[in-house]
Amino acid sequence: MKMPEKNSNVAEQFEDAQQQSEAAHLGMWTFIATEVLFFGGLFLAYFVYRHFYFHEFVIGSKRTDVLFGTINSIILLTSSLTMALAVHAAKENYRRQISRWLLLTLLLGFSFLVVKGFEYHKDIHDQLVPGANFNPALPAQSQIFFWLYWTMTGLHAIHVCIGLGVMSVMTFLARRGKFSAVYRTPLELAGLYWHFVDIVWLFLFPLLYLVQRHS
Amino acid sequence: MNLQRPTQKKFTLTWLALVIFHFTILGSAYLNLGIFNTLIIAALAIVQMILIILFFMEVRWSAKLIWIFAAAGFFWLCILFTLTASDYLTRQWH
Repeated sequence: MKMPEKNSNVAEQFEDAQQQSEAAHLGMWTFIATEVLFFGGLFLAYFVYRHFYFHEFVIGSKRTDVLFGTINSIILLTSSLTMALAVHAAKENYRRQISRWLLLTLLLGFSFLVVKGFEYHKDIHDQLVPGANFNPALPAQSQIFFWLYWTMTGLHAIHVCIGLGVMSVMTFLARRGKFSAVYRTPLELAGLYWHFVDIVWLFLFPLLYLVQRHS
Repeated sequence: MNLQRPTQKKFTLTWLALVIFHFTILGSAYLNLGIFNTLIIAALAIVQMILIILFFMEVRWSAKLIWIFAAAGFFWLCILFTLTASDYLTRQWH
């Protein structure tokens, strides 16, 4: 039987580059499923406590800053677009565009963290950290809301930091001309991760910032 | 598998839809719509998620096996929520 020809990018356990790429994508989606459940536990805790302490959640939510949250939502949505365009540029073999879109994604991700930093600073100033120095004007149970606020946004911010690390490596590799229409799997997997982080934020935003805003 | 190819235009339109949905969510939160506040926000957030998964994550143009794996995490999440809710919502905890 004639062995199929392999290029240097294909590991020996795979028939061809497409099979290798599909296996890698499947692995990434499996990882994302574990991430869904990782954040899922916190979302579950949120819903259980919101059910028990709805009034305190409304009061807590009104103390969050919608302007910071909205700016960050738009930043993340736009960074998802630039990431998708980086992957698309690789697929279409526009090799010089890849690193440009990635740099823009990096910049937007970094801006997200800067805005979040300003927001955290304001939150700390407003005594919204649960514990001994928690704002005495708020009901004690609203600390549960803020415990979830800090944990969920903090964990999300850690994911953004990891994403920025991954994206830096991808940008470095793209600038060295590593990616093309033939080889782009790491770039696509980094993109999947980045979009997932964006999805988490799309749920965090209404759950933390918009609980009964009208009342 | 790639019967239709993604284009820059499709990605840009997806982004536009996501931003429009975002501001719809934001605007609706300031109106008193009763139970519809929660329903509108939940529905639009889920639509946003589906748009990102289908277009930005390119599941729309992926193999069916990827569809199954993409759905698996959310399927398990539904089990987690349903079983927990079946306890917390049906028992008198207070």
